[in-house]
Amino acid sequence: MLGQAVRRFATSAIRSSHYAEGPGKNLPFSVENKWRLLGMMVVFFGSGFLFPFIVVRHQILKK
Amino acid sequence: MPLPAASRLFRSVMRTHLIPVAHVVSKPPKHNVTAVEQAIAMTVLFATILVPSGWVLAQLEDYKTK
Repeated sequence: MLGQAVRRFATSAIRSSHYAEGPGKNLPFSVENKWRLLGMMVVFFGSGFLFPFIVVRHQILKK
Repeated sequence: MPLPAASRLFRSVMRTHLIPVAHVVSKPPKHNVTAVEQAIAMTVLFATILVPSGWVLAQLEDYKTK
């Protein structure tokens, strides 16, 4: 009985995990607030998408 | 190819395997996203992509003649 409990604890996730687990917790960004998430997505995807257009603008203005 | 041999090939492909049903349980959503919120988010994301790039493309002739 005690042996079973020790074995269960020894292999349990509680013992081994030092990262948060579950939906929304396995990400490098927070999904707690949906409007903050929207802002983060706008910055992330918007900057990446806009960058080539800025490069084209820069190259055309150079000549 | 003789017909019995060909039908043997078909039979092995069409044999369906019995797979036990997965016990999937789901609860009602923790964070509700209403239709209004979805519309706002879609508008914001579309605008993020279309507006800055559209502005650059609209100014292209100006950039060429500067």
